[in-house]
Amino acid sequence: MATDDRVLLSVRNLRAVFETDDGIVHPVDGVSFDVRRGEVFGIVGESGSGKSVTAMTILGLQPTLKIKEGEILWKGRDLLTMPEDERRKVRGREIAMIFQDPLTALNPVHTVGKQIGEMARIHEGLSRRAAKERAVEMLELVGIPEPRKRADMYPHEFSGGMRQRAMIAMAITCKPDLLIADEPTTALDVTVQAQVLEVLLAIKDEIDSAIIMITHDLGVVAGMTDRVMVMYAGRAVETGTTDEIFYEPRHPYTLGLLASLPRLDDKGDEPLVPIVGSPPSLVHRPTGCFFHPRCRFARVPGNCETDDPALRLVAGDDHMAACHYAEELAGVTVESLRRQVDVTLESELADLDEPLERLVPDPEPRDAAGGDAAGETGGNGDAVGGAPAGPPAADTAHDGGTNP
Amino acid sequence: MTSYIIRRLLLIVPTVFVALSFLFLLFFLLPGDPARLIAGGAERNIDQGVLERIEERYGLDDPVLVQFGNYWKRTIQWDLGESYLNRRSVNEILGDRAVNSIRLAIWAIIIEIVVGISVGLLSAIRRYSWGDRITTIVTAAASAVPVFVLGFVLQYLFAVQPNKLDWPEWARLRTSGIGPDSWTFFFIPTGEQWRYLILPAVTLACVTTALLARMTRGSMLEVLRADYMRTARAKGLAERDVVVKHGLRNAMLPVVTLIGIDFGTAIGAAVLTEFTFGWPGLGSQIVESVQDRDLPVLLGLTLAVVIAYAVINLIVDVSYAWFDPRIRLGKGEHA
Repeated sequence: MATDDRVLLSVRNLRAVFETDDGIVHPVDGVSFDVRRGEVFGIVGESGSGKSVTAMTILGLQPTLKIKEGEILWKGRDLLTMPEDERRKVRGREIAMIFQDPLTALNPVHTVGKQIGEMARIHEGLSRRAAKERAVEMLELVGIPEPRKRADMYPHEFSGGMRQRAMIAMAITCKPDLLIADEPTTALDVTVQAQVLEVLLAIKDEIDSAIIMITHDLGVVAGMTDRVMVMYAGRAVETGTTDEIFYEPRHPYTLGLLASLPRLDDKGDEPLVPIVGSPPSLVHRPTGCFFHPRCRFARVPGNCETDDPALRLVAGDDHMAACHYAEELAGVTVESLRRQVDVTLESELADLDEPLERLVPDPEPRDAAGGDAAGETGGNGDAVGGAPAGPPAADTAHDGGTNP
Repeated sequence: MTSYIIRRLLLIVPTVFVALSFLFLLFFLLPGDPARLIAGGAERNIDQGVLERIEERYGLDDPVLVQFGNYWKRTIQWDLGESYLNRRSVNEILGDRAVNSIRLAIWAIIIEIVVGISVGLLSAIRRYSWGDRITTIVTAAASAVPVFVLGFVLQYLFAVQPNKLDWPEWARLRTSGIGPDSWTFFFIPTGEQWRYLILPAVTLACVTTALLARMTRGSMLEVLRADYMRTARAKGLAERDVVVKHGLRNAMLPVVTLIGIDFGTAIGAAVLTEFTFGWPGLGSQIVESVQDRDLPVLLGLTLAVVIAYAVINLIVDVSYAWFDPRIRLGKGEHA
């Protein structure tokens, strides 16, 4: 990854652990990425893949997390070694965060206007009155009608979509260089989702900031991001431009995510292609490639089971994937994968291409290698994703367990 | 909001009626003759004619239900009668005793709030530190110590011992009664007064202080985990401001109830503390009236205590609305 002067944030080989009674959890395990001014950077993954923890670590909001190694360079300075009172000045003013659930993320006992204005009072030293005026301005900017009246209301008097707009208004009050949006639309219904994302993009252009968009919703990724990092079990498994990720995926997990999406042009009788099994336990991770127990293409026995694949350049300038067989996936498209699964179901294996010979998983060795997590709930077709233009696929799991 | 307060005030009427009627009727089940008491004492040999005249004068020869009716007629006009024992007006006794009770209660509440809440907060913020562990043990013990035990121990340590060891006069605290000096702003002791006040106030505050500390700790621990606290940190607020500006008010919700209930109790039911320290308040007077069969005093003081308790509870409920806007009462337009 080239460093240029447009790079705002550069996360380098970040490794962090939680020490729990059950053992050491690795929510972030050697993650590196750059975010440049003006771009929208997507972080995608299932619940528990480490995407939220990565974001929290940037702001230093995970008190129980232990950083083992790596650095988080913000405009060239390492946030991890910065003294706390300097880091606090970065929070809110330079890097602001939009949280997932705006009902619990807003304080129930203060008015919305006061909570927005507080940002300006901390960082710009505004008076109470001036801060209130700023809050009204901000509410207007995010498209809340009657902002003056709304500023005096409490979060419980707002609807879900309005709360999320208020949350955005709060985050942009000091015109931060980077906005981190952690599943900003998960708690909202689809029509409101679209409005909120529009507001977010419009504001990004207005204040010329970058956005890190953390989501499990591939529809949001397709519509908003410039570049994407796909995370699995605390690691980046594929990074690239949004087009590269969507049209030329080079990692079986990315391919699986895309294939599991229902599509608007489906006739209705196509099977959905699940990623079998569930995400690995972050305490007892599989050997070799962390994804191999669930991988349709894994060579077991083979190096997938024994060797941990590094994230490496696989195409273009910046398209990286962590798969031993990334090159061989070049010929596999989402359509062919779905077709193959369909064909497979009709037991017409004969026509398959070479890399897809292992398309139908042999459950026996797979389960054995899958370890505890996959063994318990294996085969329930847990998948993430949302249709680019349709309703999102169900994802009811919480980011629990590893993100206390 | 106004209609809510009016409704609540009206509810006090049946509460008072039931409480006092119960007490009144209970009184006639007790052994002992009030007329004899008025005439000078149960042991004295009193002329039957004198007793009859006394009964007639005080209406004690009427049927119980007639006496009951007369009592309420007078009470509604806030005529609480006079003491059987010494003919003092009950209103006057009530006035004297109530101010002392309120002064003691105010200081107990101040100690409870200042010590209880700050100890609880520190304990929550420094969870599992040595300070927190010690606090947990001490508060468990303090909330279990009977008032009279604590009272005697404090009297020994801060009054008896200093006298034996010849401490300077100002450092010897008083064990009993109330000082001759006056008060400023109603409740701030002047001159020697604080030496009389400090031990009963600490004794009265002890149990509730411990409970408040534990409750504040638990409530704050829950609040510290809340999403809005993370939001406040993400804004760049210093940790102290996060706790004080965003955590405290949320954590105080359950604590306010306890303080309110305790204020009512501290005024009317501080019997043991007032007895131990000879503090001339309502509680000790109520106990004396029971022993003396002094019905007008007993009923008058109880009436005042019940009303005070109900009003304080109402104030607590209304103050919730300030602490938690989600329960603004009687204002349903936004649900």
